Amino acid sequence: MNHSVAAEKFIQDTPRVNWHDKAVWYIREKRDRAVAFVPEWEELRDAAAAIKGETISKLDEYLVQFESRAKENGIIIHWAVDGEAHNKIVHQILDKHQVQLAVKSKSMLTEECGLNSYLEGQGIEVVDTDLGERVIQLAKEDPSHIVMPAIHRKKEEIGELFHAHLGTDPGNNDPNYLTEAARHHLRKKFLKADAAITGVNFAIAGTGGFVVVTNEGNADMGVNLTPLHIASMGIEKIIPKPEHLGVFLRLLARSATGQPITTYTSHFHKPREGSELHVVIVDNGRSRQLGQKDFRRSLHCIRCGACMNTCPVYRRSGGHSYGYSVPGPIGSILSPNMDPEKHASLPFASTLCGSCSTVCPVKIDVDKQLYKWRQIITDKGFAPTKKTMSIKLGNYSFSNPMIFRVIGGLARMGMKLLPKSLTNLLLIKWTKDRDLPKIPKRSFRDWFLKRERVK
Amino acid sequence: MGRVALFVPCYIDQVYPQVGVATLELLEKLGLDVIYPTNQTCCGQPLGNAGYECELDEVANWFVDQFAQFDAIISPSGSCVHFVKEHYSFIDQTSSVKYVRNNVYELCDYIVNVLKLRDLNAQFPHQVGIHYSCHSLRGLNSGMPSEVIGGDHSNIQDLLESVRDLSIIKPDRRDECCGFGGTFSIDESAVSVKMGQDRSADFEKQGAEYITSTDMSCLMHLDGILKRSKSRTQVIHVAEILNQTMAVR
Amino acid sequence: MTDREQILNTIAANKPRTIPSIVIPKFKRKTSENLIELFKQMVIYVGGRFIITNSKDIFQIIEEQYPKVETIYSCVTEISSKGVMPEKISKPHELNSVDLAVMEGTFGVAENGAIWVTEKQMCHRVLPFIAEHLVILLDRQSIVVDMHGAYDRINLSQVSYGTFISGPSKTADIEQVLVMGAQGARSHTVILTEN
Repeated sequence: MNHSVAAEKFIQDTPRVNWHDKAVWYIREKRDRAVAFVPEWEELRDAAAAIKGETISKLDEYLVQFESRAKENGIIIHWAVDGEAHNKIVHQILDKHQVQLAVKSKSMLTEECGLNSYLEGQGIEVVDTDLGERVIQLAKEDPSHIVMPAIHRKKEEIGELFHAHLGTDPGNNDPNYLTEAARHHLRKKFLKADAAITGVNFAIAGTGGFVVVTNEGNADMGVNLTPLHIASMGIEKIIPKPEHLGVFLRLLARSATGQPITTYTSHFHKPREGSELHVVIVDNGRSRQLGQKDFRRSLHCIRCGACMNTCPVYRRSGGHSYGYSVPGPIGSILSPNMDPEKHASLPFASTLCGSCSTVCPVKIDVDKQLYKWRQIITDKGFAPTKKTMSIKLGNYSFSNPMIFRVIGGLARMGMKLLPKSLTNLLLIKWTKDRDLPKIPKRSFRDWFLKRERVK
Repeated sequence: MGRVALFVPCYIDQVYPQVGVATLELLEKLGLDVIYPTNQTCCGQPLGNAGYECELDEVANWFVDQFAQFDAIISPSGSCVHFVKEHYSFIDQTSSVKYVRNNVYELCDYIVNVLKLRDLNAQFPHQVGIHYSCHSLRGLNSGMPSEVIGGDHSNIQDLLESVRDLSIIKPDRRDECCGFGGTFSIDESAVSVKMGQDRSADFEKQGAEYITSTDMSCLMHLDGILKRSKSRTQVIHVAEILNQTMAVR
Repeated sequence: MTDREQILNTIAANKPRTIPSIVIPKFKRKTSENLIELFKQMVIYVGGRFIITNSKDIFQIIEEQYPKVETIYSCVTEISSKGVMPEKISKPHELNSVDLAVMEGTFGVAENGAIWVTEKQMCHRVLPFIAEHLVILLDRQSIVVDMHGAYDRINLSQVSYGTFISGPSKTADIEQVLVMGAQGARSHTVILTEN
């Protein structure tokens, strides 16, 4: 997946890209309004970054502490090195309980591991219960945003999908009507489900419990009706103490949607009487990222999506242009750790404007990491070859003033003398939609030397 | 103040010499002893951003050699100054390298924070929109970015507010990126152009006659788009506005 | 080597030098803040209804607010249930027919209109979600300023299951249009009592 190729296609539909850009920018504006009510916002960010920094410096200790406390609470703990191991573990648990239908609330980790298709391949029906996730599940596509998975879908398209799959009235696109239809449809699934799968927003080492947040209530509906709850958790979701939740929960929803808090913030410590509660702790490349000094701060991520909402490139290219379970700026610094060749174009899909780093509630230096990934990707030889040649030429001319002046002069002369059609062709990527600047007769240096001579 | 050096970015030297001229004249009017080292070439930003930081040694060391002996290095380019300050960490940190990194300034920053001047006795009777270069704003902290709650002051705005008869036009999206991003403008040309079209439209619809910035690279990109759409809105570097003095000091 | 060993070994090898833990700062608060008023504004902001009363007849208030409701499941000893017999419920699925659930909350959080409700207070874990409408009773003295104050009040290791509930269930997944009543309660009423 090359981001620029996918982005170009997305941009061709001008009304659509404008609509997508405005819809996502609106969430950034809501975030700003919410943040304005928290005078200590920047201090909260500092605290969150410091807590995460300490946590990952003792990550093994905190994970072991979590496991031990969780077991005391009656939670069954599993460990998975990668996505495949995770999927196998989840399947084994479901299989043991003869699960035919599992309901699942939003979990980017399960997307990353490809859990749904794995389980479906094993004959287990999985129903995503977050409304946006259900929409894309019915549409057979990937989420395009980690908080609003169907942000790229217009209500007319959702109306059509629901008509086809849920039997809603054709042509009725009213969000209230469609949400009501989804409510009834999903309620049936909740009542019929044999198991519920959730993600984990925060796991508390000190108490051996975890927190799951939703606005819809779909996570709690699922887990509180079924006798089996499986929670998938990335190793970086650990925080040391309950009081740390105060910091993160004040930052999360405001950053994600501009709400002061999500509707539901559920804390799980013990399984419901008569049911089982499992947590699958997943690595899948995170411990490798931990070992990279320049990139380990990306593990602070609390998956709020604020970086996507503010990113001018994400808003105009859409989540599907990134080709990874997590798109946008954070996805572009997480994915090269997984596969630097496949995701080579992502760190370059940015102007390095820095807006992402400025909104990040846990102060990840996203723009700096993007720059650093570029160095690694070219080092590994995954950068386009034509760039290598022109860069080497550039280096040669930039470090030698005589050559620089000659090439500069030649270029200026060439631009003036060559027919416009030819120069346009040479620089077609620029000139397709932009005029070239007027080329001056003399450089600044020429002007300066002339002025000095006149003096 | 001593001797200050003028750092003219490579593309300004070659394509927009008038910005270098305006900067030099302005600094001289402000009473500075300005030297233009004639053997300077480039700060190396295109190399770094393209992922070739490893090739930066020669270019960066050449740059440091040209400028290490001055009391300050001033440039009409926030992104180039940011590159030196932020990314020259890659080369051997000799005392000259550290010195240059600590003493290189974007023009408006130098005027407001070192010379402590705001009113330069300039006049520019036009409606002017300020386009914030991202590297200046978030990279060099030259102003309050919109992501942070706390007003919208900036060095460039402080200076333009004192320019006679100049009306500052504010776009809907205060500091969205123009989409240039160096090699991004070629590698991701579709997104780059779309960002530039949206940005320039945001100024045009508010009635801006001019768009100004601390960075000619942003303005070159926006100008390319404005000219293609035959817009009446023009671009002008902030140095050129500030250099329009009513009387020489 | 088990997955557990592999993961822990890699983490041990890759983790950075230990960084000291921090103390969460105590943020400045205006002492004159009217917590109840702030809490009320936030409950309404997040889509809830807010009633403050000195009355002891909460059942009457609920009937006034919800005249059409047929079944009421009460988790509060002083308030009777209607149309449903709590002691007869054997499976949580049977709660699907409950129109309205009423329960007590432990405390409210002024900055976001959330109320902390524990498993014991909700009778069944699914009840606050599965009922069509939710009414939560709260002692008006039990409002804290913010989430830091909230966690000061909770002894989390003693909580088998507990949740903060802020307004009714909602979604904006369809073109950003805010719809109340996604999967959980369609409406959320907070009754602040005297106690």
